[in-house]
Amino acid sequence: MRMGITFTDRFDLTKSRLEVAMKAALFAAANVVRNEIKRGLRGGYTSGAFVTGNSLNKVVITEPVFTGWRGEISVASAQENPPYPLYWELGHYNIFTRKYERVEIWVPAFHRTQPQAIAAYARAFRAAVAGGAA
Amino acid sequence: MTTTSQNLTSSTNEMLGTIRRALLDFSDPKAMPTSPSARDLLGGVTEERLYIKNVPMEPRFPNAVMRLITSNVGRVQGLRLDGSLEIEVWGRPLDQQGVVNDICDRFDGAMLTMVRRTQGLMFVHEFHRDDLPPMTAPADSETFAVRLTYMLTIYPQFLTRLVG
Repeated sequence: MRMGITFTDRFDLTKSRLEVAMKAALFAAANVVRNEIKRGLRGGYTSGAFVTGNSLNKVVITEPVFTGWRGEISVASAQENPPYPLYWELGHYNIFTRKYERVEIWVPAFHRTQPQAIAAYARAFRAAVAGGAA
Repeated sequence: MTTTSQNLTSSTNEMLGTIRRALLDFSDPKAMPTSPSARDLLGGVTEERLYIKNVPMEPRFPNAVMRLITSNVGRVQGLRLDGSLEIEVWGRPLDQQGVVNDICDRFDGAMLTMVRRTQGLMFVHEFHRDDLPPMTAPADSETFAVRLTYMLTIYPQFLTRLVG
């Protein structure tokens, strides 16, 4: 009698599946934050009198960057030259209203959505691994 | 020089007042006796242009605006707050850069030496300083700012007095 044991190395498949899952999960988490930021930007930064939609339409999610098993993704404003959202978020002296203006939408949205973003990450990660997205 | 005033964390308003006083009062014991304090550089006792969030219309320069953000994630049975104190020091016109830097140095000194250990505990453990980028309309392009961020650990009396 002879018994054989076969070993198949699926490390590469597992690794690529995990990478895909992490990427999907990061996008899912970032999407939660982006949606909340966009919801906050609907009315513009003050009375809504100066809303043009530029700030709202230029909230973007960057491609994930991986360093080893550490993944990073950013929600950013693509509005530059000049970067109006930056002025409002950090504060500025406004030549029209003649006062110091600061309206923060991004950072509070980020903090507010942490539990939902983490949950979205977990859901997307599980789905990608279980679904064999690789 | 460590400031040791009393009863400083009995409420959020007290904490803000404590921090503001420490920032304005600080004088470097190793500096020349005539070296101005941040209060002197911010308009003296009559103006004290260090504002807590609300800046008046058309303020004089230099001025500074501060705010404190705290979070409690349940450390030490929820008695500990992690605080982030942000101060923007504004100058106008651009040749006020020197005095703005001097104010920032005073603020750093004040925060470095500010340890409150009576009736609550409050101290700073991390500093950051950076310039805000140059701004154009609708921002006043002749203004500029240095942004200071201090990370604080706070055991405020309004929480600690509830136990023990």
